[in-house]
Amino acid sequence: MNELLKIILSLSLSGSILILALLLLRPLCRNRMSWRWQYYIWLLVIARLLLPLTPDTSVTGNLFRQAEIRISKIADAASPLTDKAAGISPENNMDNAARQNETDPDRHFRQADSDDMSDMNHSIQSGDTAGTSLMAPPDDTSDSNTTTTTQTIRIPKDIFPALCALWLVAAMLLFVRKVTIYQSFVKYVNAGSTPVDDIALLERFGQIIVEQHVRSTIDLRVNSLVSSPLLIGFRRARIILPTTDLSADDFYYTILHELTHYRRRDMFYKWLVQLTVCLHWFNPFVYMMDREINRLCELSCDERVISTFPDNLRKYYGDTLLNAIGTGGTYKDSVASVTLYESKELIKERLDAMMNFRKIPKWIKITAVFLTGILFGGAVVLGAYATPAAEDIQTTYNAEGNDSSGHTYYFTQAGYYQPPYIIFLGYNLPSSPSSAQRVFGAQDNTLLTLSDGSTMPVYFTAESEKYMTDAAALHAITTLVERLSAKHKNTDRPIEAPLISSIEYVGDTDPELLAETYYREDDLNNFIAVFPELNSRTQQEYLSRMFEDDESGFFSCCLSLLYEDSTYKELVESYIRKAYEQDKTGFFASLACMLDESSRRYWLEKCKRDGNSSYYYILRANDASIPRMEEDFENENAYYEEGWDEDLSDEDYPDEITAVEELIDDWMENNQNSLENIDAYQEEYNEQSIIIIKNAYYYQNARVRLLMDLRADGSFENFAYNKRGTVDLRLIRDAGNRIIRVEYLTAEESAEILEEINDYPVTGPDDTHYNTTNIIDLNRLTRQDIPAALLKTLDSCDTGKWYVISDDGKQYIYYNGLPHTYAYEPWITGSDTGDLITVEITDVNIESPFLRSDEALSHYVLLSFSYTPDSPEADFSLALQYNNVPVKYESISTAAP
Amino acid sequence: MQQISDYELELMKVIWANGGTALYAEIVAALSVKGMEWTKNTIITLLSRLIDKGLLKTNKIGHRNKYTAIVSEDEYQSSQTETFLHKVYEGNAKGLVSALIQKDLLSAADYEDLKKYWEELNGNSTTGN
Repeated sequence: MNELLKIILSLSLSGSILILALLLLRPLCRNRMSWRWQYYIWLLVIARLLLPLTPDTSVTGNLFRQAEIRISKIADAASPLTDKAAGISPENNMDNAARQNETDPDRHFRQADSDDMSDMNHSIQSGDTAGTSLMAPPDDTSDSNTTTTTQTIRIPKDIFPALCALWLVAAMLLFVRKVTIYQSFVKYVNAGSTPVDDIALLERFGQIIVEQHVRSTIDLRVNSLVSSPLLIGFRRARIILPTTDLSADDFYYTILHELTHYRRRDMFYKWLVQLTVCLHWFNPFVYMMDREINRLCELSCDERVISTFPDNLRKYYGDTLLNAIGTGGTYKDSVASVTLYESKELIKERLDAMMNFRKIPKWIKITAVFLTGILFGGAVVLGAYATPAAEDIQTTYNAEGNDSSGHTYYFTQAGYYQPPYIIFLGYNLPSSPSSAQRVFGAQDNTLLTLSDGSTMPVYFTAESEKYMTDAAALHAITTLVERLSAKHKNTDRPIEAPLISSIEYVGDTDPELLAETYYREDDLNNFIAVFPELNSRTQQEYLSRMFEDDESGFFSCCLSLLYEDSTYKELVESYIRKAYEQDKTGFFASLACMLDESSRRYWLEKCKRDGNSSYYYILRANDASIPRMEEDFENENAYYEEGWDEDLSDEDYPDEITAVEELIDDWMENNQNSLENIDAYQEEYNEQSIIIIKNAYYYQNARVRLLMDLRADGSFENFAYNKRGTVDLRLIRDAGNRIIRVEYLTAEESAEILEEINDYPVTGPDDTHYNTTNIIDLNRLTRQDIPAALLKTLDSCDTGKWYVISDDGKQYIYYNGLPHTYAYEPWITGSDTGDLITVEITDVNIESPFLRSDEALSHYVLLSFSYTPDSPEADFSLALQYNNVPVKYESISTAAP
Repeated sequence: MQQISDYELELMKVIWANGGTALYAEIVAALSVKGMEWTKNTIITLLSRLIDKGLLKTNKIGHRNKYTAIVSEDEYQSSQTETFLHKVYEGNAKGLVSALIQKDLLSAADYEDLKKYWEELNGNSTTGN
């Protein structure tokens, strides 16, 4: 179904519910709530009707997503256009959406025809080797019409774009028509009007404008044809009176009323309503809303006008309303000018309202606030249909759901070769007969007697019903069920409540022949049914043929059927290598999720080394990220249960983390080898009550955001940053490099460091031990760490100059005279002449507070550097950058003479 | 030229007197000297009607509107006279002049001045030919 159409329909539905709610509230609000509140609360409805903003789960959103799944299935199945399509008029849209909820059930099984790889992928992940799963929307609320399931509504696919276009064109035409009607009305009224020349009247008018604090200039004109005083125009507003022959009071109140409309910008409100009406032209409720808002517009305007009057003057305003009737002509704008009165019925109501006018008591005001809140909440919860996110689409293939009795069912279906038939069998129907029938199309059932004497009900669809009494077929089904049961005996999903969706008689044709036919006919379902019957050699021949033919759907389905085969792992390995070498992304993606953990790591490593980022992400996305997130979640939960307090609260749980973030985090983790580094500190930190969980530090049950582990000289032993942490810590070591104290950073210090971190790309924990890959080894050193000979060389270096020193086969980057401590980051770029390694050194602008004055000389950069290129003959060069600016350096070699 | 109301003419006179262009504040000041303390809405409304009728144009100087007369006072007068002549005397200027003389609206001195002016005009046109 067209996305736009769904959004509009869902907005319309949400809006309609709100409109109904407000109309039902009307008798309650009347004379209790202020008219003003009753008038402006409709803005909420308009917002709901116009803005497709919605929370993740909303009532109509869910409704539509469920409807959508069914409709798409019908649309898939019903390929030939039927005459009914033409009969669907747009006014029936809502009806259709509702009717589409009860769909032709046997169509659902056509879903199994889909050769969509993701079907298979999912069934593999769920440990199901031969199943195609399909979605069973778990709602029984709209289930009152199951008896009509025999009636098929076929909706051809291309009706939706057509409906969408129809909707759009109609909305545009309606709006354009409204605008032109209004324009010609304005033109007509202006042309027929004469400006008021009477300076006394103009002055009275001007006085009211001053009195009402209206800033703009408004012209005053007379046109005897208009039916009532009215205000037209947006930028150059004019009040048109039917006559100037008014008593001073009438003139005053008339003008006051119109000016109040003007001040409240009622014209804009009216046009907003008109826009909404045009967009939702098919919805009868919006017309009710239009009428209601018009009525409330006048009533609340009256309310506002008389609220400034003393009681005894209210009567005169009422008189004006009455006098206005019949003074003018008949020309009236039906669209959106704001008039003094529109109909006599309304005048009566307005007079009533006026006489009932009283100041609103406080409790009503409070109620109004509450009611607004509730309605707003309602508007949000009702939501709208939003384009489903990726994971929503995936879940539609998960056949897990709750039936009405609350049992979870997991329905799996596939084709099986059981000579002389190919049987399409699903099992684990929901136990509720109504959903079994409605969702899966189970029509009838009979009892199978199994060889162990037990019985099992087996269900048939309308298509397979005729075999219910066929002894041969029942025998084949019994054999098949027993075969499958034996296979599934030890799983958590034994065969229960099988459903036979279709049976095909194939006689005693050789399976190999069948396979060949199905393969040529591109009939994946039947092919899968016979594939397991082929001998191992033929299976492998087919696999290689599919690979050559680029039939990745067939390929992944068939390969996954060999899951229990001894050659499975080997096959996966050899084909993923082929896919990688031949750049067959589709194959690579489907094979990626068949890899075991160690192979996956190997391929991740290989992709990273080859710089093949798209395959890298396929590997990550396909396999690791989802299960790993769950794993993380469980681990954290475990710690939580072991007595961690609330500080490890919701925000720490990975369900808050977007998948992208997770990927980036993982990428960082893999690049940094930070696990090892963290482990290195584990014991030491544990003594200080700092615990390491999953690459994050925790101190006194709170996740650490900044961790500064400082040596006695003020340099970093370790530095970690975790943006989801909540506390900032400083660890202080003595000269023997033992931790002597743990303390919190002050807010100022944290802010300063965080600012730096945000300025420079040093995300992820432990940035000072940052190695781009295994092959660059870059480490921060202190003067104590290096041989005496090198120290001598360092002392001979100038301050304020960069050096790369080669000493005893090792290389060092050295700079003396840095004002603050520093961070560093290496990266590699390749070129024809070899790799270029850039080391970026960043002054983090933090003056270490622990620096002793006699250690002023320790303001230096000292990094050991080594690089092992992929191939020994490859050359590389080293470049330095300081604060994002390339710097020159002097190379010194201390090679002994 | 479109007919304008008396009050609109008052505004035009103010603008002409101000050298053919005036700011809103200047108009208000000049009007109050004449004893016409109108509200802002009235003045702006009248000014925009004059703009609609093609006698004024406006341009913004900063936040303020400057009103400039498109039609000079002379042009306006002669055009109004012409309209009047056609409307009342059906184009018969002699009738108009004799009415002016009869009602002593045109003094003898005025008449002599005009005569002189007339002869000069003719003399010029003769030399021109």
